[in-house]
Amino acid sequence: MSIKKQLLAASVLTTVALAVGGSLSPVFADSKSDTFTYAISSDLESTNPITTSDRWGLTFDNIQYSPLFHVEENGSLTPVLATKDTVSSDGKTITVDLRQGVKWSDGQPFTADDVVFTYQKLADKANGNSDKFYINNKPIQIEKVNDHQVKFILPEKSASAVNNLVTENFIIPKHVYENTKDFSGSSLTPGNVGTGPYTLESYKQGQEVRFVRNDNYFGEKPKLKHVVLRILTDPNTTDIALKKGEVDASFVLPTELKNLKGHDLAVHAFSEDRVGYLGLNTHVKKLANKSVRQAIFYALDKNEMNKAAYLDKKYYNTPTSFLPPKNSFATTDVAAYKTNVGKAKALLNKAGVKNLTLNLGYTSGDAAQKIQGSLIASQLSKAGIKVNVEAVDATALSTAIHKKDQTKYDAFLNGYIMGTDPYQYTPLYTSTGFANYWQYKDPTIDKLFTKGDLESSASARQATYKKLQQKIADAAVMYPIVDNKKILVMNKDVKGFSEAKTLPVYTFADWSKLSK
Amino acid sequence: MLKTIFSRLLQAIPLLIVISFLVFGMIHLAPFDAVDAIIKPNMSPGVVHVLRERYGLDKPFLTQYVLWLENFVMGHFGHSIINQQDIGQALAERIPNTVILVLPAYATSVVIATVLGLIGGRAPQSWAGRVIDTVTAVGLATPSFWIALLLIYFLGYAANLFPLFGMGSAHQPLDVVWHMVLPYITLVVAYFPELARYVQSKTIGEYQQDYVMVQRAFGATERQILFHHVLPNVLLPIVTQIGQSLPLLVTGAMITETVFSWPGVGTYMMDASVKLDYPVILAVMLLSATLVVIGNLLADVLYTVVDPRVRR
Repeated sequence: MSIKKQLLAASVLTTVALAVGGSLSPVFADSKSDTFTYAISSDLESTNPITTSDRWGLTFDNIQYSPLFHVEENGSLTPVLATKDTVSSDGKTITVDLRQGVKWSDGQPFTADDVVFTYQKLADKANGNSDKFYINNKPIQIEKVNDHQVKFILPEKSASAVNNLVTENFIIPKHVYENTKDFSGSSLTPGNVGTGPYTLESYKQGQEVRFVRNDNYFGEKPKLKHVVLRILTDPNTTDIALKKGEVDASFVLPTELKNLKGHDLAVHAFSEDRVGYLGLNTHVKKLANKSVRQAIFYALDKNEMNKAAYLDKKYYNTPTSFLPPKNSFATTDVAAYKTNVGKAKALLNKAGVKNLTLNLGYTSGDAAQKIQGSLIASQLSKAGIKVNVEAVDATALSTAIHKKDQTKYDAFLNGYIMGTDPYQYTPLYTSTGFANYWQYKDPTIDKLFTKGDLESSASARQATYKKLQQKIADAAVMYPIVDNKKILVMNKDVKGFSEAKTLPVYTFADWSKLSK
Repeated sequence: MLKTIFSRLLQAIPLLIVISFLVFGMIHLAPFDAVDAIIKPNMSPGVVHVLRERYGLDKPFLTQYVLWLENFVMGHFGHSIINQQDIGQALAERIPNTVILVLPAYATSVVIATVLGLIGGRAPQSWAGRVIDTVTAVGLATPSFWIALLLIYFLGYAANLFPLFGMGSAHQPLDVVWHMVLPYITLVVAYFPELARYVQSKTIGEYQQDYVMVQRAFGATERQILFHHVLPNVLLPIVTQIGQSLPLLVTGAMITETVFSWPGVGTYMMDASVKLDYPVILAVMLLSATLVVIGNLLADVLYTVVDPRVRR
């Protein structure tokens, strides 16, 4: 055969293969009308509600199981398995009424026994997720009052406990796991009995988690037959899959939106109450002086950073204090460090600091932090401060700044989602806090945290936490940059977005409401 | 012969131990460990300690290594630290997925490379020779993830012929084949240029040998020279190449698998590396190292089969 003939044969074969491939497409395409396929960026770390702490693991929990309450963006509680909660006058007992007539997906009734069982497992230190079930090292007790009522007894008064206790803990069935010995693993066997709208049908590690409608769901019958969490680690593949409709929804970055325009996709942005910040390490000598830290803050311009990294105001809020801007306790009445290079220079002069050089670490691969980092370097250079910007692996950076007495990084870009109650921020700001990355100790701050938690009246708490925010802003250890919203791009065929309600971390509060 | 094979395998054991020690040591040099990858800012030191203890990460380096080695020798690959999945089981699921992708792609590459290499090597200055030269040069210089993205965009999206990711339902072989097309083409494009260059340079070398001139002088046709004399001599080193590429079956498609979300060993290894999930990294590395040893051995054995001179 001559070369020409060979080439001809090859091209004919290719054409045939492509044609066959094309004609197969409809045969194998999933029945898309009854399935919601959600692209997620990495595999789940855990599907066991007792140990889950990662985003997609929690998303799984919220599809298959239910908590007593969900907590809204503004801190209010929405009942799920509970109907109401009552706090006793001394603030030490919380009684929770449970929804009646709820069944597990295997048909067994849901009762107070399941709740007590779950909370006992959660509070077991061996399971490694027990922090919030202790107050000053003393355990919170849980008791069954009757089949539809449980009681939490706190060792000390704590205003934040209600929020901490009753929300986002997913109840597991006692009748299924009664004889299970070890709850510390990343999965439970069997792993498909819950009270949520869908139950697990199959889980292929690294590929997909497939759920099927729970016919015993206590709410309105879930509209779609299946929900699939599809693991797609490459954002380029995700973008094309969205355009083609192979997946129905995914989180994307603002910079990807231009690519996705005009493809029958709806864009929804919602806040996760995150605070992205520049942190300063007060343990290094050059930053021990408050005036120096304040000078740095005055030289910065967060508006410029946010416009560059998040493109449009639709996609971010701008925080002023250490609390996310939509938090009900957040105030703007704090030292806001409006950009003022002259003032920055004056402060540095006064402190007698010349040729200040900072070593700034940020997460490599984080597009927004990369932009923030280079803008910080250029903004600070105007005040005569030199910044060495260093891209670091995400875990390496968080481990480095987590180390006590670290001096490797003078400054770092990072972010947190801690919850709605200010008391949940204690690990970050109290003297003994285990996430006190700024290594800053101030007894007044510790006292204000505790005081706020002991106060019963809402207005008193508000006032105390306002003082706290002012105090932390004055300390100039953390420069709040952004509350960047999560951008969910969704196929326009999918309905029920507003009924399903977006929820920080979990994407949707109620997956049963999604339909096509 | 069997004795040789056996002694070669025995010699490999210390080598594998050294490799495992080196890999373990390197993982240990990293500024964080697998528990750091899963802790969240609101976990107390007590909780973190419980986690570290559970995975033995609180023990000294050598103790950790010896414990791991003991288990490995007993046939326990261990469990992933990140999701506690049994590694042996995970590999048993994933290796076949990688093999069904890599094997056909590599076989195709060998055929394409041999054909192109022979054509290019016979007359390097002809138009065909130059085209092949350019194609292989471009192929060598192009990263496979980019080829993958081009294929995804043009064949998967614009022309809408093939699915973009995953391997479909294992119960429907045709579905798997259909999902395989794009990653398969990517791998063929990734593998063949280097092999083609190799064949080409061997072919050029063979054509300069005296025996070719002698054959021509005796009036042999070009076809006879190519197929009866040059080809066998060119194929000989290719056999070695094929033997040495055995580890590709495990780690030969890391990038391609990641882009296409193909559930093979590559995606598994990538994920584990990012999170320093050392039991997984070690298991895959050792598997791959073992295949290198076996591959070399296989190459030597095959060599004696195809070339009787070596046997003597």
